Amino acid sequence: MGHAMIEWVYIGAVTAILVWVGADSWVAEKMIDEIPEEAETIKVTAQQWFWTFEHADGTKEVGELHLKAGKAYRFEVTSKDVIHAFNIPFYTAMIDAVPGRINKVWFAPDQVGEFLIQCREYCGLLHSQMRAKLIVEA
Amino acid sequence: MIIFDRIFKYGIKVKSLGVALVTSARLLSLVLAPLLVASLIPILDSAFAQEADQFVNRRIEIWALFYRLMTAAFIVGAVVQGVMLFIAVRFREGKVKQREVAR
Repeated sequence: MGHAMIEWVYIGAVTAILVWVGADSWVAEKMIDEIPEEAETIKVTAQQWFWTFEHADGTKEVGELHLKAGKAYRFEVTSKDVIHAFNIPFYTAMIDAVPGRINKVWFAPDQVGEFLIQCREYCGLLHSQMRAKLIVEA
Repeated sequence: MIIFDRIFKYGIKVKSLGVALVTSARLLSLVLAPLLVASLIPILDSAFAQEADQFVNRRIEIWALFYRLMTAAFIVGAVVQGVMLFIAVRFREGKVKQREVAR
């Protein structure tokens, strides 16, 4: 074992770990991004400084969103004015709301309760107050 | 440096640290073992979870990925710091053998 061996161990170990990190992240992201076919669509519209939700049957909610536990939902998110970001921290769901563009994110709530919906992109004076309530029912 | 000398003299063999203490295969397996465990956990996890949940639980998957990547990051940090420490001690100026080489 010459002096170069420690360098090869160093290079080999770090390269192996970084390859594993890349592969693991790619697999996880692919799995998470796949939207289930049976997911119900909810149209989310952001504007300064509140959220509007439209269910598949046409009913609309402002500042509140009622969902059922154990069911998958696909959110089609857009904005009427500036760029916002639709974020539900508890369910690790976040996607930009961009004017003229529909971005999609999904999740299936598994816990009953009330959760925070917030804007995660600075969008003006009342950005910090741009919140809504997610109510997950059994 | 006296402390290092004593540690190496009585704890591990300093003269042949690079040669006899651990072979490269042993060292690599030591480094990669936690990663192997970290990569097996989600496989076992999802095998059990499939029975209970109809859908992928994004919250759990994302946080599990975060913890696995943190494990990897700390291992990379440990490898880098370990190699730096090894080189600093192994090739220190205070070592008599190194002084002789320098001359």
